[in-house]
Amino acid sequence: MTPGFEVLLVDDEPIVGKRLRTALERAGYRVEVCETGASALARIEEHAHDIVVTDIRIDEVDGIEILKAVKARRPETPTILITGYATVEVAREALARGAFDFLAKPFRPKDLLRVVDRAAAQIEERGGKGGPAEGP
Amino acid sequence: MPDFLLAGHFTHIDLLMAVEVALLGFIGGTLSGFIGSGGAFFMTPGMMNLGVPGAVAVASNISHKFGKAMIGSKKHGEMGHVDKKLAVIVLITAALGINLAVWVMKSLFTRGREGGGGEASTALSDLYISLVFVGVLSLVSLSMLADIIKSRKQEEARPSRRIVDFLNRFRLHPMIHFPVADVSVSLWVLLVCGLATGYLAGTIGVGGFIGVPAMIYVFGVSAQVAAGTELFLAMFMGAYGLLNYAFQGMVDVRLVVLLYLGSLVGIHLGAYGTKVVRELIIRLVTSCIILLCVLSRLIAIPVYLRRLGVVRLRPSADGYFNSASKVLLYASGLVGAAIILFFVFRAYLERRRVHASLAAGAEPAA
Amino acid sequence: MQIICVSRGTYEGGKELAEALAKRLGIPCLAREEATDAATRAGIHVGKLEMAVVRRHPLSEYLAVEREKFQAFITATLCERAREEGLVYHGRTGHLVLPGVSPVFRIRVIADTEARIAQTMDRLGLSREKARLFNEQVDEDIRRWVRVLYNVDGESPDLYDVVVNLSHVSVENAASALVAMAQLPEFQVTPASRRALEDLHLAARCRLAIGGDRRTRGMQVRVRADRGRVSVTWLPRDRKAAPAVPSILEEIEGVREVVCTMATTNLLWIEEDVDPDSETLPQILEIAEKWNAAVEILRLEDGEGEAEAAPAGASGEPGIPDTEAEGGILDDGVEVERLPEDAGVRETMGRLVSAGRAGGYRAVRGGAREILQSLDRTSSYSLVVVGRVFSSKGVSTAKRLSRELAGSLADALRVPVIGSDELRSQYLFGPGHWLKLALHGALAALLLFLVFTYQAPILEFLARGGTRHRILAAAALFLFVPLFAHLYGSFARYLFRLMKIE
Repeated sequence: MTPGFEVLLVDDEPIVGKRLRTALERAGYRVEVCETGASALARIEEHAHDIVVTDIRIDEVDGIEILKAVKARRPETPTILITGYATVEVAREALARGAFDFLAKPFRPKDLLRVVDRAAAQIEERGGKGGPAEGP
Repeated sequence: MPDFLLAGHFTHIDLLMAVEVALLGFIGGTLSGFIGSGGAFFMTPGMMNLGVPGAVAVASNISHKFGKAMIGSKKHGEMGHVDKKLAVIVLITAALGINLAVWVMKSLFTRGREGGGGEASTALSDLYISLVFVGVLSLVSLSMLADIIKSRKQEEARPSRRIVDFLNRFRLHPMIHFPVADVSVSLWVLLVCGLATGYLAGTIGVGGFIGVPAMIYVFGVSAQVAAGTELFLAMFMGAYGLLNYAFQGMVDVRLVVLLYLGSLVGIHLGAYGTKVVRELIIRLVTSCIILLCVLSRLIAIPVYLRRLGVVRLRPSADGYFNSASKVLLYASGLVGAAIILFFVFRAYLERRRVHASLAAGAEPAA
Repeated sequence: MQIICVSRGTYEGGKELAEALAKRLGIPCLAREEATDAATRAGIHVGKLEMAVVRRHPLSEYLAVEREKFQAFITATLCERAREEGLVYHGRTGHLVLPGVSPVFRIRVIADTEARIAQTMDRLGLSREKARLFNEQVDEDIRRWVRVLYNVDGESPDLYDVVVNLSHVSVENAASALVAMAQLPEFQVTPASRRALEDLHLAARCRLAIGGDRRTRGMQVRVRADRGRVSVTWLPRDRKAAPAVPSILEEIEGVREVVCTMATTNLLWIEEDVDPDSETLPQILEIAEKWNAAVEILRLEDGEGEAEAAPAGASGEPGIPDTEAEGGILDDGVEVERLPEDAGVRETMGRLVSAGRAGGYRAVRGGAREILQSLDRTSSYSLVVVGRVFSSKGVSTAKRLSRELAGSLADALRVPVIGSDELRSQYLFGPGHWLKLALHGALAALLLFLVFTYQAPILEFLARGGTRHRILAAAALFLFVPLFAHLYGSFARYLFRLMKIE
């Protein structure tokens, strides 16, 4: 369990965001949800989240754009992509662009949690989280 | 029967024991037909409980496996489920593994005899076999159970794929491509897996338990090709093990023959069982059986420890441990085989009933 | 009406070429991405399948069902879109969901490795090395995908009619050439292939209906349609859900009759002249009963394969697209129409149905190649029985041809292929087997007796020291063990065959 890690969750479906948020928060993560790609990009500019989880198909700004934005600013931030429309090409592209992992919908919240936990473990291995994300 | 033989590592076989060994073979055969590989995990400790020294039990078992694999791989070979290139490479490494195993066993055997003599002569190698057995098989069965629990919700009913994903990321050179199995595997991975498979096959006679999952989950081979290739491999490994053990004079041909008597009948029933039972149940039954076997072996360990003088126990307690171990082993095998036979029988009856109703239903529509 | 399938990799040109072709021919164009998105929206977990391929996972039972549903969805989509004006589909290997529809024009688009790397670098902004790795991985994934879904090698050129290298030919020029090629008589939909399409479409719709119903959605089934006659083969483990199938399928438009068969596997019976009174039928039924298998009849018609029927539009053969009044085509249609009238087939099917063993029927003209093309490669056969075929060719030629046919089927399907005359000796219990049973049993018993009677000398022999003697002992064991295993193993096998458990 890694409390205090900040997760940015981008998904345009409020119900998905809500369910995943509950699951992650129960595991001790601090979750921020964005429902549009544009707002997510703005948040990434402002704030250094520890982990980013994004759907691939959101709106005109898609998950790949968000991945690119995250990698451009903070290449070490693990970014996890989720999508209901996974294909070999998209998955390989995401991994080639440096995504941490790739999850095909439908999945259970705990499947995501497992991946997020792994990402958190990786951050800790690299010497803990830096920046302003200290828990209260 | 001359005394010098009985004083060595061959035991006297009376009618009861002969029936018991054949029964072991039958249950082992049923299980191996059902599970797809192994059966040795039941027969080796079973024979040890009957008073056969561990090394002889293993040697006889591996000889038994040789003939069985020969029959099986011929069938698979005709269907093109054998990747010979993969088999040959794993074979060479596995041969090294077996050699190592035989050597370790032999040296433990002689060390035991020189050291303590009498009871302690076989106790050391028995202990060693039991420990490896418990370690490896509890790992296999527990991870199987964990998978089942994880995949209860008919999600991807497969073990976690960390190993394959991990290896795929690195692709250690040189990579070798296998046309029949349609995979590319790093030579180093092959070496490690082959060595481990051979070593375990030589020690506890259960190479298949490591080989098949390794091929499916580490190399990414399809299940059918994995089973076929494994049988092909098992044939050579069995032959190699047989020659090695026979050269050491450890194979008791009477036990081999008795094992066949039961196992070749059981294997047909077990194989029939897999056609009529759900995958999840197959794996559940399998892992429970293995776990019980492990438990049974675990109970026998204090006896060997006492004989080696590691722990202090009354020699009369041996009987309790041995019979507890025996009961548990037989219980696991019998229950497993009973469950399988129950499914086979039920499916057989059901088949007839369903056909009757279908035929009746189809007629008016036609 | 024209159906064109463009198989493309990661190279962008494939899509452009397909679109250019569709534009020139004036028919709709469908991209794989559209189809898979629609499948996902329809509740099929395509993404899970794709990821199983990426992660090199073997398919679980759940994914095997999703695979069936996905294939049915793609088949249904292609048939539906193509029905009116035809279709250009571009994706991986679309034509494989239309087995047996020979006029499908199959184009494979490739490009030079360098050009592809350059394009990937440009598109994804990757380094050269990463782009190369990306291409390799995607190629490998797609190859694996095709293997997992259709059990063929998608990169093999013999799956395609033409391979175009877009590094050498521009998209526009390639499109012009291919438009001309598409006009060839071989690529025109005949009434026969139109019917094959309708059958595939109906079967696919039925499969989707089964997958979409709450009661039956987890079932692994194989659906075949032959002119409104739908046969469904299901596995014994689904016995609880199976009774719901007929009521689901009766709702579907175009279904005239539903035959359900439970099977764990399939038997393919290839015969030229299906005769219910021959010796073969009861034998095959007996095996099917024992193995719990469904029997699929394939009537191999004499003559050239349909795909080769008109070399360069020769005389009278189907040379003109899709007009039923034309002589050659009408001929083709009439001949196919005659089939269900064939009393032998009708009677044989009737008996299979009443035995609960019917696994569908189809007719194919030509030889091994045509048979393989028409087979659904994802379904599992465990035995192929080749009856009397090529009878018009003379006795010795027929023998050779059927032997060759058996050989190539065995290579491609990787299951035993035997002649109907060998059925009894190989898989059933005849008088000769009693003898073998007795012989093997007696020999095994003799060996057993000897081992136990002379156990002391034998053990002494096995344990005596001395290197030369040890080698001798090992060799003796090496020979004895397989001998006994073989003798007793054969005895046990015959015994179980006698008891009909196999």
